[in-house]
Amino acid sequence: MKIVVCIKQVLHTYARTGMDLQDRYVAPEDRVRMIDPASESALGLALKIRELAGEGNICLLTLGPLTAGEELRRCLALGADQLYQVDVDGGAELDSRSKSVLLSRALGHLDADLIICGRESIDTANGQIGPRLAGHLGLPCVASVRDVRLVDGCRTAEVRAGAGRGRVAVVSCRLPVVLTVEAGSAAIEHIPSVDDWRRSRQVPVQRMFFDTAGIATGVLREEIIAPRPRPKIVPAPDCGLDAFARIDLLLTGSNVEKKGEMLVGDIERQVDGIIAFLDAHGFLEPLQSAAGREGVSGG
Amino acid sequence: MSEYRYLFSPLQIGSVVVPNRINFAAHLTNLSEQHRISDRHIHYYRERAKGGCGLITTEELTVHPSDLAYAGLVDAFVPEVIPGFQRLTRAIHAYDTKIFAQLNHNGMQADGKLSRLPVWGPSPGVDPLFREMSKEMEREDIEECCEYFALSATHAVEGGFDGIELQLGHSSLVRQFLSPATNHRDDEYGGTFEKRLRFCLEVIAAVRGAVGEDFPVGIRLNADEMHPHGGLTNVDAQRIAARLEETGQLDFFDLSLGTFHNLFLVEGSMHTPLAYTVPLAAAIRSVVSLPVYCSNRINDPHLAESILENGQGDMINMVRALIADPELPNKAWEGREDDIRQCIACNQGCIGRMGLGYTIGCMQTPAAGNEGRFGSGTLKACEKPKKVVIVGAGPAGLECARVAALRKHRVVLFEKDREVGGQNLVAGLVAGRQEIRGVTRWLIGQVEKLDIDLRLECEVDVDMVLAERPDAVVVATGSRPKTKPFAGEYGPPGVVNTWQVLTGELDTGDRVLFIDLDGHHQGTGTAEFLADRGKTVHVLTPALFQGSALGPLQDLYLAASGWRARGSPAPRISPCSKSRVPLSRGSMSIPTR
Amino acid sequence: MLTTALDYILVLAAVIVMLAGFARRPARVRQVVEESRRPADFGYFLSYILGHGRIVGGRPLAGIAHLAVFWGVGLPLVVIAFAQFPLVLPAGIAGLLSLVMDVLGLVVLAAGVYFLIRRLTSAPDLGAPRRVVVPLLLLLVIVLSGFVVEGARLRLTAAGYAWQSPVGWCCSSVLPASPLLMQAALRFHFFAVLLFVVLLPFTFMRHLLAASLNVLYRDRGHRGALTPAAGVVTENALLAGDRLFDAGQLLELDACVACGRCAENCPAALAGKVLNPRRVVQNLARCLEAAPVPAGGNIDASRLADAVSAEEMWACTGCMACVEHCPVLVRPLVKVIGLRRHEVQMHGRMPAEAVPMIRNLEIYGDVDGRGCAHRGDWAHGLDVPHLSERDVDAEMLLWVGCQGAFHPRYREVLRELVKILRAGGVRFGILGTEERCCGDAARRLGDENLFLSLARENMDVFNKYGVRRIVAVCPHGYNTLKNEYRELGADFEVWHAVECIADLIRNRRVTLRYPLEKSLAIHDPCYLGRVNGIYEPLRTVVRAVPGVRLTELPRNRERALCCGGGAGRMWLHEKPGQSINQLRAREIRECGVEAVGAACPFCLTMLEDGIGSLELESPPRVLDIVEIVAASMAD
Repeated sequence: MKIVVCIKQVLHTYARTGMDLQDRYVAPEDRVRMIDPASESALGLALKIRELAGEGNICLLTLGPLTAGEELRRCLALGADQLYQVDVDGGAELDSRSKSVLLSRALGHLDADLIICGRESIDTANGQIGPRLAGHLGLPCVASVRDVRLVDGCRTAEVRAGAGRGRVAVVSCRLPVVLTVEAGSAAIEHIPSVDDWRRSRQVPVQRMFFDTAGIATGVLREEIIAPRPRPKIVPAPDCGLDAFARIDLLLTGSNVEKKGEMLVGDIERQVDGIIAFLDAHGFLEPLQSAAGREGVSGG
Repeated sequence: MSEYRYLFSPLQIGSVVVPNRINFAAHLTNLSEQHRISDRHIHYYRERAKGGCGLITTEELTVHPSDLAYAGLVDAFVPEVIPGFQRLTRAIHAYDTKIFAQLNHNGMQADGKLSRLPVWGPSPGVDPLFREMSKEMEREDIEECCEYFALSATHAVEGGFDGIELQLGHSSLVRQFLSPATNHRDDEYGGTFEKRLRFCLEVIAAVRGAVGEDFPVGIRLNADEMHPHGGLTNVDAQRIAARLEETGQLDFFDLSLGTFHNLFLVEGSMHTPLAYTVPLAAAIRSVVSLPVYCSNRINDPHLAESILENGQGDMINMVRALIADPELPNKAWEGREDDIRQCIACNQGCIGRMGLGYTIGCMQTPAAGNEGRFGSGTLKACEKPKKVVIVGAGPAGLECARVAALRKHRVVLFEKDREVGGQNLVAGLVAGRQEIRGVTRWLIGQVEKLDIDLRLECEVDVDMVLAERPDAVVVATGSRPKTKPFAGEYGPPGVVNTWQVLTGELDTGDRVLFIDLDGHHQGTGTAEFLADRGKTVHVLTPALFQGSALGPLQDLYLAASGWRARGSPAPRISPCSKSRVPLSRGSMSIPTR
Repeated sequence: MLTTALDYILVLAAVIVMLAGFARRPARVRQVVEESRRPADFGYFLSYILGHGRIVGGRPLAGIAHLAVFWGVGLPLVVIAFAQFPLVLPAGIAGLLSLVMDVLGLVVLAAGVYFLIRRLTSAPDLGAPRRVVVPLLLLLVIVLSGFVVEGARLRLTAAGYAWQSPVGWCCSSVLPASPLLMQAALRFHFFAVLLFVVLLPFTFMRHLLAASLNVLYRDRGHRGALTPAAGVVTENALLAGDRLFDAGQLLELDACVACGRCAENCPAALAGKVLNPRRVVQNLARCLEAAPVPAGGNIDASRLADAVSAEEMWACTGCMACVEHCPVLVRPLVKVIGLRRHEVQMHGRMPAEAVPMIRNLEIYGDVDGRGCAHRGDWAHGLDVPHLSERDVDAEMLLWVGCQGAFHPRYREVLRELVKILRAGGVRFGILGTEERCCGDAARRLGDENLFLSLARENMDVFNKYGVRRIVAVCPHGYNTLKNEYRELGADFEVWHAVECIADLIRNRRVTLRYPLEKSLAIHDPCYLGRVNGIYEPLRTVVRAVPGVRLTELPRNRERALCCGGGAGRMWLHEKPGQSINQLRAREIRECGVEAVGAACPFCLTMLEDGIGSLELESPPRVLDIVEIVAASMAD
């Protein structure tokens, strides 16, 4: 079984300490070169899948110069077997489309059963690479993967994937497939040993060249605007109201929420009150379905 | 190191980079001498710069002799003020803090008592506070006013300020021109939106012309007049802001709110929620791209951070918060939020004293307004440590203990109760005034950090105090209500005092006659407390109206709006008996139980 | 007196058997000398063996008994050996000698019985050896039979009462005058001695040689400095540590007498955790015994590692109590760290909760992952010069450390320290954003590579600015910089802040005026006290504060209990057993002091948590000594 993990190297700016506006306040010590946390999770998932499958070959695939070389070596030391680097000529910045085209060409040579990448990186946070890769390769794609089980002799993956708002979907799909992983969802709990490191040093970087002539970058990032958060909408008092109503709104419903209702009476009545409140605000499932379930279990 | 992502990030305002997002916004101080910047001003502002705020906006500097609404206003229109400005700005620039000058003309929100000149206004009208009919400004007056704005601006530039803020807020001539509630002109300065805006544009153009392209100039815009009879609304303010931004002559929008019709909104008391103007600021900010300031009752760095984080403002105005604790920015930055003495919006020193014509102060921070004598760095350890015994751990006792311990005296603090705080705890029991407990909360936090021998549940007598062999004894046992404010035979249970009611020691019947002799929080609060419990309260007071002492604190309206107590003025209260309270007109019987 | 040639042959045979039993020692010793570069230290050895100071140290009664047995056996042996030669002594001296021997015999008897009772009544826990019983009995038999021989001889010679041998005379009065008895007793005595000699290498008594060798070839490096992992091959800062322990370490394993003083003082063992240093050493020694190391070769690391469970090795707080109290200079701590290294370096296994911390160190260079950009933030507004500034006038570097830079409480301490140093006229600077973690936590968690890379980064910065003197405020950083950076070529002087303050106070450059009216106890941080022997400066400094009533905790100085936060335990989860910090907190409470003074960020945090968890009415306050001084200092 061959698993390809797409690893993104990022220049992570973790602090903005400087005073110089020209540098957007960023001093050299404010940033570190590292592997994107989502990619690290992708590797974690790959290691786990290999453990489940009992065998397998994990290839790392990265794009552009090895800016975080030592961290890539660490990924190898953690258990990956090969490292492929797609060479990009010049310092041209690539957009998601051209990156995915280059990566898909590389993947065309690798013949992978499973392609895992981070869902979105901490620097650009586009979240496009995985789906685009799947598109180029004509493969299915599952996003926000939490856990994978292999069934049917490693030909089908049973995937648990985040489905928003804390829900988890169980998806079954034939391999090969593209999976994307969120940062932190498959933590690697061991660290490389000396032998691992030694082994990782002996893994050659296999460089791949592709003609970039055909894949013009469509989107160019010209500027990153320092965060100026957009307003969180706290509605201003409706100007159609009279002044007293506006003042009243301002003094009751601004940043400090003061709404509430005091439940009175004995315990029974208070509990009823809580249930009624939860019901009225949609926190409880409708009573009917509960009754329906009861009926089924009773039958 | 700071956990604040935005609060301590620099902000570019025009050509100036302000090191952080905390602005000590414009407010009256009454510290001036002969309408000039005084040493006390310099100490006052320097203390805040030292405390780490990124920007200081001075109190309003008046641009024209016709504007002398308050005796303590500082002039900006005569060149003699420049040396004072320079001394001030030099003192501030010793720190990593910028300072802007606020220029203002109060217009019709003034009277001629002090200036001996006619009161200017866009149209004839009367301000609810000053009550003097204004003179409709002639064309010459308008031109002169613009010239004076420009002239004052050049003085500010020469005085070394980093920027200028033009007051278009709650009390300003320009706002009066903008507002249809005060501008009834039918010439080119009144009528339609564009016409009402004209004077504003002229003032801004004049100032911009005087200071040049690169100098930061902004306005303090009224985000919503909340005028009972028309006036500017938030939508109008959005339009004005968008229109003014188009001119390209401004660099920021500071915001204020309300007018003298609703002064309780301008300087919110503890009856108002924290950061209550935020939605208005957010609305303005959503239509402009220039930095927007957010103000009013933001007394906590985390609150400030959340406002910035939610994108509701770019700069946080903190005035009372910094009066109460000039060190707030530094403490927040260093992660010592516990040490911040939070403003509780009691409005007694900062606003009440202003209204009465005194210099600025603070109920919590004795140094406020007297930084030269008591400001940071003046508290020195004593030469010879003494043993100080303090009796009573109310706010006074705690503060005394705190200062004595900081001065390295050995402090023994006796408190007869199980918890410290004294009457402050009782005061906090009243609805809408719970925040007053912040006084002791902070003191307790500080005292706990110091080496103070605090002995609770320890009622002392002379021997016990002497047994400690003190060098100094401080009696801080507090006050108690007068038991017999007027002659007569009465007492509990028929007649009870506020303490007994608030602490729950004694209860009243359902119909309460409440005699309030001073109109301050104690009386009004207790009346409210009783009314909250469903009792029928009738308040008698020798003043003209209930809660007379709350007026200067901007607390009256909101306190009163919560009252369900009826009241009547009773100029004289005669001796009472156990069962009857004689009034000037008849008498009232006290129900017996 | 040996009479026949057979006797000589027997003696020879016994000695040969004994030497054969010790056969592998010379190889080990040679290895120690060659590899670990530990030359024999005769001076120390003599003072150690003759004075018995270290043995008596922790346990006076048992120590004195040991002293008695040592001299009571050693002296008669020498005398009897000399008696085999035809030497003639003046009667007076001979008589005196005889009296001394008699008394010594009694003393040995008493001590032997004491040991026997001690061993038999002690709980048979954790490898507390019963095997000592056989040689002990044998020893008693030898002494008793000696007296019988003497008694029988006196009876035969019928000399009557002799002041030279009171015990013999007493025996003689109850024994029949039988030459046969005397001969039989003599033989018996002789054979018992031979048996004892033969059994030397195979019983507990082998510690006679093993422990002596260990003491003779002791590690003379600083005890606070962990040595680089055995067989270090540096290749791109990587270690090829295929060997767990070097020869010196193996020598130590032999020397252990399982006295249990380590376990008695080990905070983890006291708190009921699985770790017991005696068991660790004994298990390792058993492992070694089961498959002796081929001469000159090396021991299979994994086999040794399997003798100790992961939970045991991660429970160590690195407090050095085991090292401090071992009478024969065994260092269980070093074994545990060695095992951790093996676990981490060879298998990449580490408690999961520590991995994020290690990652933070790798990526950001500090334990909290806050990033070096923020490392100078604590000095906000203090105007502390950075060494990178031009024309900075600094005679010393203030080493801030991760805790000083980021821990909210300890940042306060740092700020106070700045105040004190300023008042004392010390010209100092900081490295600001150029500082990295000193690497203590990484090294003691077994990640030697990480330690080396961090240390090298720091050394580069030190060299860049030509740092000559450093004052550190965290004892862990202090110890690491002072003792462990030497191997990387450091030659600067390192002070701890408390030493520095003590110096300032002594020279009256700082005056302490304001009293602190409190009873205060000192909690000795392990890495200041036991590791670096700094006990007194803490007390001098605190005594200089007027009004302080200094009391000592029941366990203080060398015996101080660890707070539980050392050797990376700060970042590990609490495992079964009570929390060590609560144990210490209870001791502090029982001492009834109003405050406890520490001088270590970990101690401060751990003790505050510990005391907090006791939920006392008026909990003792935990203060850093720096804070105490700053509060008392004239502004």
